[in-house]
Amino acid sequence: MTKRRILIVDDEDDIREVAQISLEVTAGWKVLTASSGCEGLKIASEAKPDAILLDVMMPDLDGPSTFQKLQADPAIRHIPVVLLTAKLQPADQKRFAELGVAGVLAKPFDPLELAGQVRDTLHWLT
Amino acid sequence: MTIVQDIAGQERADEALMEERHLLHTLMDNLPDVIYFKDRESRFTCINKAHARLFGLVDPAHAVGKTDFDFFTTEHAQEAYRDEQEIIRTGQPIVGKEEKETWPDGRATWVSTTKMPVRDANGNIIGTFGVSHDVTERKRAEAALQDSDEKYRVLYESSRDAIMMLAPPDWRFTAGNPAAVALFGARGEREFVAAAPWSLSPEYQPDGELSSVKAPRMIATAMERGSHSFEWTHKKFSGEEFFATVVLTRMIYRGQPLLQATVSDITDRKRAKAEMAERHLLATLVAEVGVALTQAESLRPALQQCAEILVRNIGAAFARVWTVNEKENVLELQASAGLYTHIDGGHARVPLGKFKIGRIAESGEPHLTNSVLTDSWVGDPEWARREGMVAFAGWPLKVEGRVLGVVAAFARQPLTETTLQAFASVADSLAQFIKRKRAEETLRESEEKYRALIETTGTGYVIIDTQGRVIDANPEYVRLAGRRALHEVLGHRIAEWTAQHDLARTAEAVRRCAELGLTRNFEIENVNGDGKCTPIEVNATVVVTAGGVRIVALCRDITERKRAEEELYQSRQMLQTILDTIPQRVFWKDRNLLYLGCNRALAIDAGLKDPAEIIGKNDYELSWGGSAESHCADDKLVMEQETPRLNFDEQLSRPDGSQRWLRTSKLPLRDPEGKVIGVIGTYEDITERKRVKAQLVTHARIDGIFLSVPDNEIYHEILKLVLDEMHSPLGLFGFIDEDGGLEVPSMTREIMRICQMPGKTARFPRETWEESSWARALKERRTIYSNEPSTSTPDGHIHICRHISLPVLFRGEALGLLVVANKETDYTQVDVRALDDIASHVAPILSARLHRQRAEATRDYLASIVEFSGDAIIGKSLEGVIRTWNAGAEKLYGYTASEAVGQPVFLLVPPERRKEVEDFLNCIKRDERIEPHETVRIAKDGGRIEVSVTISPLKNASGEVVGASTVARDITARKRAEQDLSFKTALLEAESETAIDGILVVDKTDHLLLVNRQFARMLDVPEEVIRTKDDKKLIEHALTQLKDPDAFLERVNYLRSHESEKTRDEIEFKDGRVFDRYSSPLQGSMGELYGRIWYFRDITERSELARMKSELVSVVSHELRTPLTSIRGALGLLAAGLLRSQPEKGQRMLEIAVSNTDRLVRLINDILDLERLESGKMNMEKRTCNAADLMTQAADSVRDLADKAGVTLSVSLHSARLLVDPDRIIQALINLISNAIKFSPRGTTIWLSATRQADQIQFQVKDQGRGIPQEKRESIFERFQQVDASDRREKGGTGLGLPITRNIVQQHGGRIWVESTLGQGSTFFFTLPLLPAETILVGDGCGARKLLVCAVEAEVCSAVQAVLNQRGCTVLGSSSWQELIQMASIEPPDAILLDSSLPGMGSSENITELKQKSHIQDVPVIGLGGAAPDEVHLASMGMAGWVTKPVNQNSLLPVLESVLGNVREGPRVLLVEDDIDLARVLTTVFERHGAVVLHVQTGREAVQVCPQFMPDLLVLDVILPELDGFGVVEQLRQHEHLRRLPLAVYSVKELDDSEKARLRLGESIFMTKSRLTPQEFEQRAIGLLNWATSGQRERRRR
Repeated sequence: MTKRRILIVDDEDDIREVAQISLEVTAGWKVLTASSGCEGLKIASEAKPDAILLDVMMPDLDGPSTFQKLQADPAIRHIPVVLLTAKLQPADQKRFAELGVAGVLAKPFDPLELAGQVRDTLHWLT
Repeated sequence: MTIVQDIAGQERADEALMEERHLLHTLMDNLPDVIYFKDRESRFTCINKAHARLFGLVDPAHAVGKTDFDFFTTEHAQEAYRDEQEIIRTGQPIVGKEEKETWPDGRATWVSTTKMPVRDANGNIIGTFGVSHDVTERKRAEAALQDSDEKYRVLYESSRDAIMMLAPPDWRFTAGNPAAVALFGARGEREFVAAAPWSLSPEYQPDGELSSVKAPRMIATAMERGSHSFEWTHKKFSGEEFFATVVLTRMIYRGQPLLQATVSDITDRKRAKAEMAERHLLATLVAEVGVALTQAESLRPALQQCAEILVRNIGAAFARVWTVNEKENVLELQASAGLYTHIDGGHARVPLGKFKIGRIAESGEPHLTNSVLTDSWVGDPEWARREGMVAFAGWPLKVEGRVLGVVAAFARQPLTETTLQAFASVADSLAQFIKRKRAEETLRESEEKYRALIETTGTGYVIIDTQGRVIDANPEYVRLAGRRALHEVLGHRIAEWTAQHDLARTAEAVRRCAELGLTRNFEIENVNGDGKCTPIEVNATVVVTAGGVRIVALCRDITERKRAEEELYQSRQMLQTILDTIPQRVFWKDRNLLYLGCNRALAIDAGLKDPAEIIGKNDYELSWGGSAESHCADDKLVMEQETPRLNFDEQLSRPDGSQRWLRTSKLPLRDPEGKVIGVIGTYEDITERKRVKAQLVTHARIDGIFLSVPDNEIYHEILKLVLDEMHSPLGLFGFIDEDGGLEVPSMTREIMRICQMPGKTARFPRETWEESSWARALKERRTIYSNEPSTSTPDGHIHICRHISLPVLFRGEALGLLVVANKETDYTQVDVRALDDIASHVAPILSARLHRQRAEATRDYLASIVEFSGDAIIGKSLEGVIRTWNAGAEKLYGYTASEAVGQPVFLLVPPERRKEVEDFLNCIKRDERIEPHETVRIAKDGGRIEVSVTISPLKNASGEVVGASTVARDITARKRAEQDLSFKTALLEAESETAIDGILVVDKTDHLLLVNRQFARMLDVPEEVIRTKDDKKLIEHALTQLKDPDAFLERVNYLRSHESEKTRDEIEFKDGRVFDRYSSPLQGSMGELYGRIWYFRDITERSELARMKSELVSVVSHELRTPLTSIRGALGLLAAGLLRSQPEKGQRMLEIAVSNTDRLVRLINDILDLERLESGKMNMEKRTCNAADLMTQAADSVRDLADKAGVTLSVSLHSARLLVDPDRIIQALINLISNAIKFSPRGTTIWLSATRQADQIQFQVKDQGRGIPQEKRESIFERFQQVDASDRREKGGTGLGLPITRNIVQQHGGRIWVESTLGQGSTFFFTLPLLPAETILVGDGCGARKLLVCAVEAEVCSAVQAVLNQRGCTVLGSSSWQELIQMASIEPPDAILLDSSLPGMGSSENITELKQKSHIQDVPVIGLGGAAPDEVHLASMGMAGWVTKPVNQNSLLPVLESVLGNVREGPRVLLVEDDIDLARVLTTVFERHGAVVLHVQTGREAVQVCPQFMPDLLVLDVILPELDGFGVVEQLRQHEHLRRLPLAVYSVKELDDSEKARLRLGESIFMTKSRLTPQEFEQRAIGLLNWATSGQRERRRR
């Protein structure tokens, strides 16, 4: 089986870096990163990762908008998206549920568990 | 050339030679011409200065040995060389050779050169000499001239215009160009040269002037003006003349004036112009004729106008127009213009075929001639000759081959082809015109006849189109339309004056007329301007014309007819009305006894609906057909005898079989001539009258029965009478007994048998009444009669086949029953009425009789009811005497019957109510009843009883009021309950009104019961709605304010069907208010539902707060989680040891954790700060400060940051006194400056400045950053609202700096805002109020002490220096007053030491002068000398102290200390800190500022050392071993000298106000460790230290 490739989209450099190392070290996935929604869409189109880990609060193009753009593109709409967010109010959760993403993971996350959580969310077999 | 000297004079002396040469050179050099000498090889041996200049040489000598090749082009040099060699060879000079010299740089000059040989004394040629002058300018001029000459010559030769030259004095031709030669037809130029201009002209010019006179005049004009242009007629050599334009131009040629004549042949142009003019003339002619004919109203003036136009435009002598009169076969003259203008002369009528005109008309061909005199048609050649007539033109006026007239003209000149053409065209126009006019006239004639007819007719006439628009109308119609003039009608729609109610009908008529081509007759009404209506009869017919479908309507005013009809109708109506309303029947018949008419009463009798139906009928056809015979006989009799028959009675059979009695009168009906034409009759129904008479008899008999017959016989007798009257064999008469049953004392035997009643008296209890007719009659209280078999006996034999069952009614009550049956004939209404009449008469008598019987029976038990009633029932007389007294009365009032009866009723009445009872008695006397009335009575025991009394009059048998009965009821208990209730209601109302909730109460059907004031206020309910409790309006009013009125209604509807539910929800208003709505059912104690109560509470503020809180929590939680995510992630990875093999990644994770921890700390601090600021918990420690110091401190704090960012920070200090918390203001400034640094590109500048305004200071922080968009300039002051969301990450801010800053500024009473230009930068401003001027500013900052010593002996100064320098003081020496003053002026010292040895030392004046001159009023002066003077003396000398010599530490320091404060060493700091590392850092900081630091680690130590060490500043940690900061302060406060010790608390703990209060000593500042950078700490701590030391000094000075 080829290595899983996962794209992390987050405007916080540190979080991106931590998440990347976490996924690389704990799951051995190939991690791509993008620091904005636009960049994320671009990389997703080019590299067609197996999944996208998407932040919600980003300048310019936020997570939900990025997701909607992604859905509008037939070439990449099949890529499952997991939101990774610090927005954890009930109202936010409701909003995310209506979006149709594959799942929502909370920040802060346990770097040792993150890969497992993504895997569980996407029903990937180990 | 004179300068060429013969130099061969060998005898001359050298000197002379030298002189000569010098002279020669001078001469040469002064000449403008170029001069040179060359040797035989053409090498320059000598040139003059001019030549050198030409060669560009400074010194002529430089040219020596050079050749022309060095200066000129090779070509030129070669030519010169050739010339010179030629001269040398031939000895011949070359004179005035003009040549072009071309220089190597391309310059070209023209020179005129003369070259000649130079010979030695022996005559041998030794070289050449040349002189040349520059002729370049001349050459250029010549070339230009030649150029110009050439151009002119080409022009002159090739010009198509003839150009000739004339020269003075006699202005003959001197030259001519080829065009001139050709123009004049000369053989060559020579032929006209020397000719005079006029010789080539005819003798006269066209204007008649002699050419030889006119030509010189033209020439003179040209000479005078410079140029003159005119037309001229020339003559060619062939003699042919031609037109030309001549332009004479003056010119100077070779100094001589000349005239140049340019001649252009314009003959062709002239001709074309003339033709054009003619064409134009004729076009005008045709056009004018056209206009005249088009505009003409009638024939003759138009023709006359045309004739005049012809004369005017073709130059005819006269012109005439005839028209053909076909009837008489003559031409009639219509117009004549020009020479003859009359039209009634000999040519007025010309027979066809006669004369020219007649022949033209007959032949239909034009006759044209330009030679009248020889023309055979011209009748009078003599006249023609005499009048000089040359031409004649006559045209037939012809249309479609038919000649309508002739136009003709004579002219005195020949007529051109063009003219004739125009004439023909005019003739054609005239012919057409005449034809049209003829047709028009014919039409007009017929039309006028027709119009005259319709205009004078009394019938309105109108033509309309299918749209109803008037096309034509006559005056009568105009009148009918109510208009004044025709134009008010034409083009208008008839609908404008058609009455509204007739519009549809008219439109329909018009439509039918137009579509079906029908003639329609109808009536309409027209309305004129005044609204008056005119009835019109319209007869409309459709006509199809060339213009389309038209409707011609004839309209007649039928007002008069209508009025007559109306009057007739009205009079008929009147008559009819009269006839119809009189009871008499009226009819009139013709001679054949057919009805002509009748009134309504008769028609009804006749069984007709409408009187009109009778017309044409005879009596046999009417309801009284049976008696028709006799009526007709009577009628005939009256007509035959022609006499009336009056008032005779006759019987009439009605269709229902009844017979009526009539009283009739009949009269003959006569026409105006008195002839009998019919009969008129009236009759009156007198049946009723007859019946009443009979009734009276019956009534009398009944009365007789009642009077004379015993009671038990009465029913029999009455029944007998009834059966007799009703001709009926069967019947019964019974009455209703007290139990409601029917008792029958009398009935006929037959009835008895049917009813199976064997006895004489029968009784039918009510429950036994079956569905028989009589039972129904009684039950329904109405008469029932039937002629059908109705009752059958058990054996099946029908005995009763007709009957009337009649209830005997009295005042609506059924008293009894009368039944009659089986009359031989059918019962009729008459029978019913007769029976009813009898019953009515019987009823009252029977009623009285029955009552009497019943009253006697009931009296006994009524009495028992009264006696045992619970109420008090008292009977009293009209005088108020008690007559009866029941048990209830005894119980209520306490009196027994025997005690009360016979007493006046006032026994029971309180005195104040006496009047009331009297009034009641008066009412009773008037037979009025007193309805329940609440009052008070007195019982036997004197107690007052509240009672409700009802008083009724008591009457005797004959109905007279004889007393009163009073029913009284005790209502004391009820009253009490009522009061209780009213109190509770009031309480409830007060409660609901004072409630903070809006309260609304509705009943079960949602009707409004109660609305409290608060509710009305909340919903702004109009007063009227509250007053009227209009629930519909209330709900409408409420709904308009709600955000979701549908949901509200839904809720209300839901509750209608779930009435026992309680509800609670929130409703939102459009204006943003939110109400908490609670409703609960209103239930009684038994659980019964009364309605619903609603409570409304305004929770807008609460819900808004909740929303804001939730929003804040959401944002803050997100902001906190973000750095936590990095920290948690990084540490998680590290802790798991996953990165052990990748140390660099591990290191990176640590960095991430650290930097995010910092970020988290900053964020938490900011959040807490902001929270405290906003909640007002942040205590502002306001002190007087100097704005400049605050700015300095703020700037110092951020300088490192600015340096790192490569940004220049420029500060302009402004000094001003403020009362602020300096730490907070510095924080605000730092926030603004660090923000500016973050957003400033490298290399830019940030300016911090302040300006003073009226009563405030305005700080400005200006940057050159990217600027802030307009829409963000407000929001950036809100939390987490950076301009760009990414700024938080990139710039590391928390998003709270500006909100904090704003809060700080606002809490100081200031204002903050930003101005910005995108791309250029932003300026943040904030203001703070200024402190009033009188407030003392506590200065700070104190450098090392500086002393000025003034002593004559230098040793004194040295001694002072020795003591003080090691203590950080500066000591300057001076040896005289002057020097001292000067030095003090330059830099004021902290103190001055004056040696007593100084002259004038003892004088206070000197010291005063010192202080004044050097402007150092406040600097203390200390004396230095022997024994100290006493204090008074010292003070008088202006001295602050005295140092006794010899100068040493002991003598100097105490004095200086007392004057200046601690000068022994630097300021002392006691540092109490248990963290040794931190203590080391802080110690370094203080020592850097020259302070002496004593560090202790525990609180206890601090307390111990403090009194000995006497620090200037105490730096105290709070959390300490042994004794904490609070304990330290508490103990230090016990010491007199230490309780005001300046204190800097430096703690990890965030202190609240009470903690700060507990920690305060002297001036105290509080710093939190995590919040301050070391720099900030240093700045603030040193600030306080400086302030403390300077403060000591200040205090000492004072």
